[in-house]
Amino acid sequence: MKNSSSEKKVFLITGTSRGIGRYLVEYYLNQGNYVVGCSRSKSNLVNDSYTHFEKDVAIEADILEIFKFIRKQYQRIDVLINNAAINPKILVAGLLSYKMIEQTYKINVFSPMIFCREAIKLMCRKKFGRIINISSMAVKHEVLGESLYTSSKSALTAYTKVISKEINTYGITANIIAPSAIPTDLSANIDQEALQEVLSRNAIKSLGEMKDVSTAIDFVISEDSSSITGQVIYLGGV
Amino acid sequence: MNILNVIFDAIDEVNLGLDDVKMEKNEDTVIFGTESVLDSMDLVHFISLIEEKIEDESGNYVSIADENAMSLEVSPFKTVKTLNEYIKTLL
Repeated sequence: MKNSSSEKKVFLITGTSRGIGRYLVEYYLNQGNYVVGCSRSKSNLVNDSYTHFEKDVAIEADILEIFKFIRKQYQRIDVLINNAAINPKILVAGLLSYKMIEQTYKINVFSPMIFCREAIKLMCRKKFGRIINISSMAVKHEVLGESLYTSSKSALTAYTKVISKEINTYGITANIIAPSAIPTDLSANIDQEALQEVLSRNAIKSLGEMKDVSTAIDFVISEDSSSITGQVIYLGGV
Repeated sequence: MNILNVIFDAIDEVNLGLDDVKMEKNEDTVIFGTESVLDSMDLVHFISLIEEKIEDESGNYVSIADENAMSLEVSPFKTVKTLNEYIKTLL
């Protein structure tokens, strides 16, 4: 979404201190947009068009503060990218603690739902909006020991498909981008042997690249993509 | 803050986006249900406008569609009058 200064878009991206989120912030800033980001840690990114919130996305009040800022500063939001997620240790379902389940669902499911709720309210005003929820190839591959992460991303996928039907009359679309494994801190925590086994199931058996994600997002957030909604775009030939 | 005026201002804004039948600005106007002119997304828009106007005037964000609102026997979203009364309890 490349823009002249007079038509800058407002992006809100979660989980922006590193990895895919950080990449997307820099990518959309370079395209001439305003970006608001958040993570539990500080950001060292300095740019007049970037505002970083050091917030916990698992806390509703923290999310509402971000939206309060956006309402006051920009009076609108054009693109929401729910990227923040945690990938708990590979562990069979019989050993999952309640705390692990709760924390994973808070960040991977509840949080994007609250971000979507607030974004939809703002997007209604302009009768335009693009929601991107980041999922994973894990949903398709159903990997042993990943029931928690996979089920959380499946929930997000189902949620996105349903809301796409609710919001389309207001010019708002919602889609899922499900990357293959991309070298990030999150994927570094995954057992590398297991990762290679999963990648071997894809048409493209090597790790993905950041630009794969931005290319797919560019496609669905285009103003011309108004009829592309409720879709899951898997990357890497899943 | 006159909440009724806030609601009426929101009705004016919502009406700008409605094609044929508009919301009437009176206390008996049905907000949601089969007798309402609003669909579910119009309702979201309407509620968000009221929340925004309250925040602009008071400086405080008030979530109207909270758990309490959803659990009440008589929905606050039934008419303009019930909504007006409910919002007053939140402030």
